[in-house]
Amino acid sequence: MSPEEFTTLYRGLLPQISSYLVRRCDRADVEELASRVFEIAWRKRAQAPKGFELAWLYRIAGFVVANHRRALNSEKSFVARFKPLDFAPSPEDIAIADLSLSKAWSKLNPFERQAISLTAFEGLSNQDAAKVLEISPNAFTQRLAKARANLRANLS
Amino acid sequence: MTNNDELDQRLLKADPAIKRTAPELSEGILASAIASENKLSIRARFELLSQNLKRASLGFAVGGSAAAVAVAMVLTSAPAPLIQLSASMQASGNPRSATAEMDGGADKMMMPFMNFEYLAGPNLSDETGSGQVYKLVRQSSPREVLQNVAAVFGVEGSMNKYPDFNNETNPGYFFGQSNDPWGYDGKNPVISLWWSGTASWNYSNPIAYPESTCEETDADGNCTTWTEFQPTPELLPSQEEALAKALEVFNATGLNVSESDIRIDSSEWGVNAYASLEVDGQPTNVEWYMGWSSTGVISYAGGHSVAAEAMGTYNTISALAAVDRLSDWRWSGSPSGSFYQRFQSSVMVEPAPYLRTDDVATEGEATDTSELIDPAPGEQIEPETVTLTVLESEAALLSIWDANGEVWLVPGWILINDQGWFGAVISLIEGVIELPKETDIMPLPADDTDVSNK
Repeated sequence: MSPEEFTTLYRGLLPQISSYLVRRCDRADVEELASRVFEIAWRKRAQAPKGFELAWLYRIAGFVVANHRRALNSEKSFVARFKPLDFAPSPEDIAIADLSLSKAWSKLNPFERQAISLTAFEGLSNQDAAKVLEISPNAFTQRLAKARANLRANLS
Repeated sequence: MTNNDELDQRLLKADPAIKRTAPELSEGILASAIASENKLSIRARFELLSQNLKRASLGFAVGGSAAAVAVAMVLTSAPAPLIQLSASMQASGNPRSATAEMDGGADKMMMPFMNFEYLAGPNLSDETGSGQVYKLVRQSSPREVLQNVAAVFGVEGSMNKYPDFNNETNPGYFFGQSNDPWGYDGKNPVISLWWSGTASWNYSNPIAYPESTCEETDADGNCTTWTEFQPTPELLPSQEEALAKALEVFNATGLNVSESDIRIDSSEWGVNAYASLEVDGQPTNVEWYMGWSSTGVISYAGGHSVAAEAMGTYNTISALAAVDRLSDWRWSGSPSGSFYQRFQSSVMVEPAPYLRTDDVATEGEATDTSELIDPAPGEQIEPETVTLTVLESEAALLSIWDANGEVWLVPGWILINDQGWFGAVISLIEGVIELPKETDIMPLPADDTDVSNK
């Protein structure tokens, strides 16, 4: 893929990546993290699945966010380094608008938060969200259904 | 609570991106991403130049008979390498290279803690041989290529130069009707061309895709429900129609193929066609491609303007000896996409011990539900060493980039391991290619795709 093809393809996805990152990190960090996402996307450009470029970018962005969080947390705690990767908006991110939802959100595990955020916030279909996670659409549908049931239960 | 609609509404309202407005990212981020790789290439060239200057200055510093000895030594020393390899392209341009495997994260972002060890199986041949090396030379001119492709796709307009990425070594052009400096206006098809490497061109038709419309808005006028697209397979070309059109387009744009050389890949969402340049009967990774979107319209296509020029026959090492090169990213090359198709569904390795499975599979459906767990308190996460035994080999032409941005096709080995995957390594004997310094390695930084304990 040439530089021009890369730019033509990904320029239209800049807003989605910005929104994805701002949901999960401080606004001040978005530009730097976005730079890392696209550096990786450029280096791995031959691997981008045709027609699923946004899902592929989200996957890269998820790891950039998770490692960014680990870097921040590990400055505070050695044990924090061993927590599972967390790709979803945090309860603190949700609390900006809805405190009780934030509390219910905090009781979900990272994989449940991830499943809900990809569909509810990023607006992905189950098929595209499954691509982000590299699992089958059926597996994702199950995971999402379970996550939503747990969130509803936590809110009750 | 609360039924699904209520939950959805509540989640939408709690979207962090509403209160915390996403900053507008400039396209400079994309330019910087691309430039971050090119900077390394320039550095690699500088170091090569420095080495050459040092050798030259040593010759000049010696006087009299000592100079004669120095000249004699130069004359009788090994010939200069044919190709000076690019550091950055080798490390990043090869999706399934030894580098990708050593990276441990290129394909398996969820299983980063791995080192790979390669063993040679009992059936690998120790026969050496020889093979032809080709240089891919650009054909015609940018104007002629753009005009030809425009005629094939019925694109009207004029030729322009891109405002950025334009330099003597990598000039870029586009052809179309848009006044946008990048040729993109979302309404008119555009053809782009980069006059370096294989002179790749790309056709893009932005109106070939279905338009998304808003079905529901909230009280503030923000869209809450967008059209959910359904596939329209009835609009797509049939296999025969796609083959016939791809044959017409590929032949008209410089790739001489027959229908049997074209691969069609279709789903209810779209159809794609691919064919690769063959040199001396061997497939390469220089591909032509085109695709139809769900509307049945050709939405994109791409190709090259290049011909393979034979540069000489050189000796090659055996498949057995090539196994050692799997661990050195500098020997990796890019094979034809047909190899990835053959091995695409292979699972590489067993999950690392800190993975466990969860969830219950539905009846008759295998699902991947692996997830990470916390290690036990105090437990260190050590990289797992995975041993791959190379069982089979196939000769193949591999593409590589040199330090000047030119593309070569060189003999190589496809080394197939016991996990059903493969590595592609150059098989030319040492000395034909000048490798970048091993310290120039650039696998992806550990904090980007790998789990890192910082």
